[in-house]
Amino acid sequence: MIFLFIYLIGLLFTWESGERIPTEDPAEAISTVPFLPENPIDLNTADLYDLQLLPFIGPGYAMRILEYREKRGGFKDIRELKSIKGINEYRFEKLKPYVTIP
Amino acid sequence: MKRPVYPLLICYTIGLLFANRFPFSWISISATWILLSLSLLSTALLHFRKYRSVTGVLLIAFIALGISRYTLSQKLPARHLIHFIKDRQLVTLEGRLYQPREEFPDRDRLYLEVETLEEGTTRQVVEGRVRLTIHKVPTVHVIPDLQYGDKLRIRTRLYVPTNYQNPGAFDYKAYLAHQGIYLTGSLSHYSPYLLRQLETGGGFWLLRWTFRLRERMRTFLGPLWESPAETRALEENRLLSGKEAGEGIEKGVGEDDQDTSREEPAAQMDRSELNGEKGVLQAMVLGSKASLDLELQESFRLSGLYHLLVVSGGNIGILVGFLFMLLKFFRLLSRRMLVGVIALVFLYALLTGFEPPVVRASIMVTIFLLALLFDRDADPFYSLAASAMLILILDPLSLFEASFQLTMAATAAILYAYKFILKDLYETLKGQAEDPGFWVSFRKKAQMFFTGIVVMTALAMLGTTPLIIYYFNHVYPYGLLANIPALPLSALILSLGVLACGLNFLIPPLARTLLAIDLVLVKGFISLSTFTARLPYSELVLSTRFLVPLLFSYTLFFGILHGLKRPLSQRGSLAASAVVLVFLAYALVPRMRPPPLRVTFLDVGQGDSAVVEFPEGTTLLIDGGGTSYGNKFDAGRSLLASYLWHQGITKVDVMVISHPHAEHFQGFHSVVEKFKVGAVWSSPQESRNPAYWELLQKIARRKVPHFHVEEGHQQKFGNAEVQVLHPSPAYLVSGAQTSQHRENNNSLVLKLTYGKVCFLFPGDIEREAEQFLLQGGRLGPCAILKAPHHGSATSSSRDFLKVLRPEVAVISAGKDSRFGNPAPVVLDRYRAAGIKVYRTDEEGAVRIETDGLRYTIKTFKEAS
Repeated sequence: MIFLFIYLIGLLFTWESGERIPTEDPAEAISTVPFLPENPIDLNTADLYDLQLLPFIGPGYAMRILEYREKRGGFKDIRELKSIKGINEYRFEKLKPYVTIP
Repeated sequence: MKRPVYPLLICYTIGLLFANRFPFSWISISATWILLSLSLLSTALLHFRKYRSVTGVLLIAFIALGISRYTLSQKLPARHLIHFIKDRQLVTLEGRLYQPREEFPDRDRLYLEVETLEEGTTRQVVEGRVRLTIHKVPTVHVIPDLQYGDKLRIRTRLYVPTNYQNPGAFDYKAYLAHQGIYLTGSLSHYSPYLLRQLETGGGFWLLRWTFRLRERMRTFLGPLWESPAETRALEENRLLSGKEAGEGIEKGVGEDDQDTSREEPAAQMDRSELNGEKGVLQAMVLGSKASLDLELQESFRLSGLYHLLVVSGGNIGILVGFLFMLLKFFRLLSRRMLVGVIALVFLYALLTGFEPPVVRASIMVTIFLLALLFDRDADPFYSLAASAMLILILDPLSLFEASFQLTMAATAAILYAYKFILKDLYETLKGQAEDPGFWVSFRKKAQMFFTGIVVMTALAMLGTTPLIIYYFNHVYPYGLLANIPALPLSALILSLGVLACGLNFLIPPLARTLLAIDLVLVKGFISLSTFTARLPYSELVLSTRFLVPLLFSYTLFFGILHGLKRPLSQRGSLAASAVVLVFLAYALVPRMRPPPLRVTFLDVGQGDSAVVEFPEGTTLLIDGGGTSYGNKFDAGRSLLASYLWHQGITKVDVMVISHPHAEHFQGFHSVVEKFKVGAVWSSPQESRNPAYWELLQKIARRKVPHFHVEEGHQQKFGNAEVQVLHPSPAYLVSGAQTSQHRENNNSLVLKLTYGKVCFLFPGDIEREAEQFLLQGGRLGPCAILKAPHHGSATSSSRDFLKVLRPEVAVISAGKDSRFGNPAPVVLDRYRAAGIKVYRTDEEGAVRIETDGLRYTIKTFKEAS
């Protein structure tokens, strides 16, 4: 009986090796490489972070797209993207396969 | 054999170690075959010639078993995901969650058992596990309720985990591999474009049921981090484009996020009261580490109570003890009940997520209970060996885990304490009590209880300290004292917590009362730990150097202890003198030669950090590494501090910030917090980098003298001398380039001379500053060069190399291809000049030791 008690206390000292496991891991950082979504992104419902999955689109551009959407009450044609400052023909062509308006 | 498990365990362990040393190599394979055929041969001999004992055969067979078991555990199946993809590849996966979602304040982790892999147009059936991190940011999308067994479709980039290859560094890759994870991925946010829930309710029913039960227990015990206020605060810290991003979140997300905003008042209330306590209780009862406050974790670490905080084998021990007390009290202790107890133990292990330490403890308890069931006088050491054997057969990789080793060491130490110290004590105490009155017997019992706790705690600490020094380089001297009240307290907290959780399904009001009482106890527990943590010297840093003397003193101590009981035999005293001789040799031989000057270029990824350890014991730190891409990985803690602690260094005499770029100073935050810093040198240039300002403020707050040093400054460290060659005041004024290049060119350039050996640390200077230095005629031949600017094409100009004529160049750069360092042009240039190049991204940390005449180079590349 008393052995059992002692044995159990022994278990108390089981350590977690987790003690020194870094909680942050560089691989967990938000990727800065474009993600290229599998399905085209709906320009009228996408949020700030969805837009950043697109090639060339960082937080700044994503903001501008949202502002445009807000001001115009939504996109009617994906070509409207070209009227956003900084999105030229070349960039638009690269973006085209990944955006949609249902 | 009377006790066959001991030698078999030893042989099996030898096999595991052997296979670990030579993984997959022909040595391991041929060794297995040779050993197997040997044992077959001896079996044949046994059969035909009545060869005396089975022992030899079995021992050989168990070594072979160890080797093959390890090799098997390392071998990935042919359809494993890792065979089909490249590092950083963008893929679409389908699979099931094999564990519940793990929640942290700023991100969730999903554990996916992959079933199919799609990339481009191909679709393959694969297997393998992937850990996915999803960052929690406010989003318009509904966050799906992800449960164990759900089938998901996920778009992500898969990364092969890597290690920073430094002496004393944590092996993250092995840590993940032990969980069966060879690939990780991360998603920027919850979005249907990245993650879709295809099916719910799959998986094994028993697990699904247990995890649901666990979820209910968790909501009962207290809230997690679901307050939107918290998420929003985190959001503001994220490195988006400053103010704009903040506004965007308001506009794009604010109104749509109704789901969470409804809960806001309740969540906020919970945050304000008892959140730390609830987190601790959850960690103790259910093992959800994510709910723990980081500061609290640190204080538990410093007070030496961390092992009581996380769900570990200890919980199993406490619960079984509690159950036994209940059963004994109600006089229900029987063999049948023991079986029930074993079943409950495994249920609880399931509830806590079947973490390896808990599973191990369950196995240990089960074996022990079974031994008790069949043989009342079972030798507990024998049960311990048997459970070690079983655990190592089930999961051979645990042998290499700190937590397994610590568990075994602690348990063995405590059993030892009982068998050789306490037993006699108890017997004398019992013997005295002839006719005990109530008070006398109570006092006796109390005395037994307290001496028991004190002796066992002390022995457990003694037993685990060498391992703790080896793995963590830290010793918490108050742990022993703090554990004495903390052990019973934590047992009480845990049993009350589990009881309350159980009662919640029967009598909720009573359960809530119990919970309230329990939270008060937790509060006491926390105050105990914070009080202990604040005491001076609550943390001692000991280098692994101390291990040998420590182990020696153990041998001495226990030798004397046993020698007093029973005088040593002739063989015993021979062994004792051998131990003393070996130790003396160990202590004296290295002292024959003076210690070398040691320069270690650490692997800090894309960044610079060099540690100079002078022969007389002072330390110079040149740059602190760090990540520039705004993630929270603490390079200072994980890379610099772990190396310095490994070396037993607690004081940094001079900390040099070559220039204010994140990959050179970010890691210094932790160094300033955790080490004594004698002085800071930096180049006299201003910076608008907010993180740099924060560091300077931290330095000022800690009253560390901070000097702007310029060309001409020099300081002696014993016989070594450090000179500052650059920048001169004239150069600082004349620089007129874009800020990035100017800051690089204004880097401090340090020259370290020791005897005839010279090291040059030119920071990130570019061609322009190199030319300036050459024109000033301040450069001369220097044997060892840290390649300027991570081997980038902007630097290491041909003239510069021609004048320096280095023999060795060290390039400190990261594997991240984004920076393209080192530049192929520069590598060619070094090669053409006949300079030997070492790269931290390929070879890991590079260590150069010199006695002032010659130098030796060692790299820390790990076997892959």
